Amino acid sequence: MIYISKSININDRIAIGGLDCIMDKLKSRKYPDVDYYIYTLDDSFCVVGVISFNGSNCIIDLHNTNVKASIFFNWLRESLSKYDDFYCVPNNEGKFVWQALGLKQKSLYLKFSTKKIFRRKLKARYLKFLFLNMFFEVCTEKTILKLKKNIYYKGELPVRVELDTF
Amino acid sequence: MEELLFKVLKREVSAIGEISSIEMVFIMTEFNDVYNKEIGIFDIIDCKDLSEIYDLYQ
Repeated sequence: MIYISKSININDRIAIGGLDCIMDKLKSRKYPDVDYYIYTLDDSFCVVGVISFNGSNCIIDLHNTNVKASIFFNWLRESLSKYDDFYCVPNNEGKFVWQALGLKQKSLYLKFSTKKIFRRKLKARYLKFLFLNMFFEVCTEKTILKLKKNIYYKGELPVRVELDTF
Repeated sequence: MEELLFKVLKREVSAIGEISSIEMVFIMTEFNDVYNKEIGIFDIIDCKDLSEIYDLYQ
């Protein structure tokens, strides 16, 4: 589902590259159950995508093009206010946004697991990691395989850390 | 404070509208560290101009 705020007619209002420009930022729109929240005003827009995995809400996309900081943070807070809890594993720049919003953080690790082989369909991203990621799960329990990224979460850590990129 | 702002942004700004959302976070983090305060992002984005941000850290 895509929720658009501010624009009355999205094609008329977006000056930078039109709707395609925004759609390019919806990296995970191939997943049918992602909720996207979009704010547009004249030549600016911002986007956040939320997907529910096993009852936990994961932020999978966040982007801001020229939206004023005050509008962006208030819009983001309001968009996410309908979720009691959520988590994300942001990139290097994105993490500052979540830190500013006061989310808790924890290190991430990889642990060996064969569960993926049995419970999931074959996915293109397995090829990207030469199928090695089929044998590992992302977790917050300490192992010798520490990832460079952290998980940021509002309330409780998710039971399972599901990432659309791993 | 102007010097610290320049250090964080690596450029001069004359109006708060020139500061992006991620830069606003950098300012908050750096100023909180330097002035040993815990000003939140929503306090900073409420500021109408740069002087109001400086006032928060007085």
